[in-house]
Amino acid sequence: MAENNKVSEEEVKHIAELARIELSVEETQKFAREISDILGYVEQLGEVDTDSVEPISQVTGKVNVFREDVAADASEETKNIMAKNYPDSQDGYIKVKQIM
Amino acid sequence: MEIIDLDIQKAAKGLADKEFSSVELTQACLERISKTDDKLKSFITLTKESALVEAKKADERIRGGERNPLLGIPVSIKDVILTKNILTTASSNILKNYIPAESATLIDKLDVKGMVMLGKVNCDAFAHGSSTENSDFFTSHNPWDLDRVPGGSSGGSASSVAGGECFYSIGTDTGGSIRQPASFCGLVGLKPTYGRVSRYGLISMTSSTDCPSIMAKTAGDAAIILEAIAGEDKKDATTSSNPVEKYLEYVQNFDIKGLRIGIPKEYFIEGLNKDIEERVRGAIVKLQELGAEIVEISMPHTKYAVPTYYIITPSEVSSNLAKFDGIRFGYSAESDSETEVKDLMEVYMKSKGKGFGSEAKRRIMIGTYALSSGYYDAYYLKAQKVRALIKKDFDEVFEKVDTIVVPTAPSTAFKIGEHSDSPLEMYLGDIFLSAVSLAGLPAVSVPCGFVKPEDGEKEMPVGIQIIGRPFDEKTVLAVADIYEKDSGWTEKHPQI
Repeated sequence: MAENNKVSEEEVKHIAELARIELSVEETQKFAREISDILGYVEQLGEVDTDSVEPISQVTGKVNVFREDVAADASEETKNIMAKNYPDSQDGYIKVKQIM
Repeated sequence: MEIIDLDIQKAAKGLADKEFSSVELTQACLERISKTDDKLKSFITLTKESALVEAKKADERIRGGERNPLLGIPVSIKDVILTKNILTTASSNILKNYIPAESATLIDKLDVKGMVMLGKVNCDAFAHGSSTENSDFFTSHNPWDLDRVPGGSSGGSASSVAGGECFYSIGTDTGGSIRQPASFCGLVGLKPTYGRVSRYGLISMTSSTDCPSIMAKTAGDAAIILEAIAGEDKKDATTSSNPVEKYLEYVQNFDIKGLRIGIPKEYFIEGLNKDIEERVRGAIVKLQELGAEIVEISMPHTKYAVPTYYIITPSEVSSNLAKFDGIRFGYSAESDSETEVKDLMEVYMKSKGKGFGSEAKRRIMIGTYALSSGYYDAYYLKAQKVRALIKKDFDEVFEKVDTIVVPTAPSTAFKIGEHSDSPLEMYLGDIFLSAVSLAGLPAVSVPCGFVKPEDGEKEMPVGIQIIGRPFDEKTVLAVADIYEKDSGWTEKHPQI
């Protein structure tokens, strides 16, 4: 396990930026505490010898399920419902703010 | 017996024998909802009109001679499961106006069977929690004691079925979210094997453990529902190609004699309520009397399941919730007149900052940390290795036994607002549930009696959990069915 499990507010701000999430000052302080707590708690996994263990992410043994890489067109109805959910749009396209 | 107290099999027989119609069944549920849902708070969205239309169609199909046990039976659906053209919120503010363009695969399958959907039910927002108290809208109530939670995250599924508002519910179980509320509300809750039921159309939480799951009144009902929703799906590459079995037929013809049931010592630990332990051990003795062989077993990595789960879950949550960025759907700071945004980055930051509730934010932050550069090996990779060992514990034990029986929860349903934040209690709440989820195994919680909690007068339900080999839903359901029929616990109904 990582030695440094105390997460500073500066680190929380960095993580929040990576996650693209705006936090208040109170939230930043709260998460610094909570992330430190959780990291302290999971430290016990360090007791487990995993040197010769292969990690798993999938438990049913399936590997590499392939399909043809072809685009399928959605129905007009589907497109219309999707478009209704767009926060901002023009001529049926999603409108986004400028990037630069 | 009131019509709303019937199980699916009895209701289907009543429909076939023309004792009542699906419209009458549906109206009985709607009437019940109008009487009880102010107290239970199960439903976020009621689809009364379309339910009556579906019921009418079901009646026509029944008149035409069609017989299938789900035809014309009213159901509630957890609000993390997409329903085309019907509001689907995940009980979250960020999706409070979201209308899906497609339905989940399991909804399409139930539509083919002729389900009557009464509406969408409450849960913890994005299924993050174990009480519905993390719902961004309201908390649901336990039909056995309205001062208590129904459990969660599939709490609205539990309160709606136990409260007689519908005959069954489809929820999800990522780390216990169907089994724990089933235990708290005196119901049968089945989490199938990972990959048995398509996840297509779930609002994802933890992609490697999410399982669409079943809240039912009896094990036989759960078998019927599983048969309807299980199977391979091209839209979910993790679904299994194993054939869907005749679960109900198997359950009805099962002989428990000689079945080996493992009792792991690591699950009977300090902190487990003594009265609950007594009920669970009583159920184990009963299973032995019925013909099962009881085997003491050990699973040494059990205690690492919770810390492993506490890394894997937020990591996958942080990835899955990244899409709610205010661009394509959901709350957007850009269209919020109270919020000013100058560029795309601010749209992301403010949409998430204002849109997500505190538990979602907490998980996003922990997960992003665990996956970030420099920490990935120490946390996420390490957890995936320990996960392999947890699975190995089960693999080895299943060479010696056919099923494992453990408690579902260490306590009965707790009072609303009184969930302790103490790490030990949080740990205890998850210990019985998370190893099964990490190993992807099927498990069912079935009622095993009632216990009067120390802080109350009303007796509350308790459940035992029967865990099976991968894709052996039929055996766990059969054991649940035998126990349930012998004990009679599932025939009790709460007075609301």
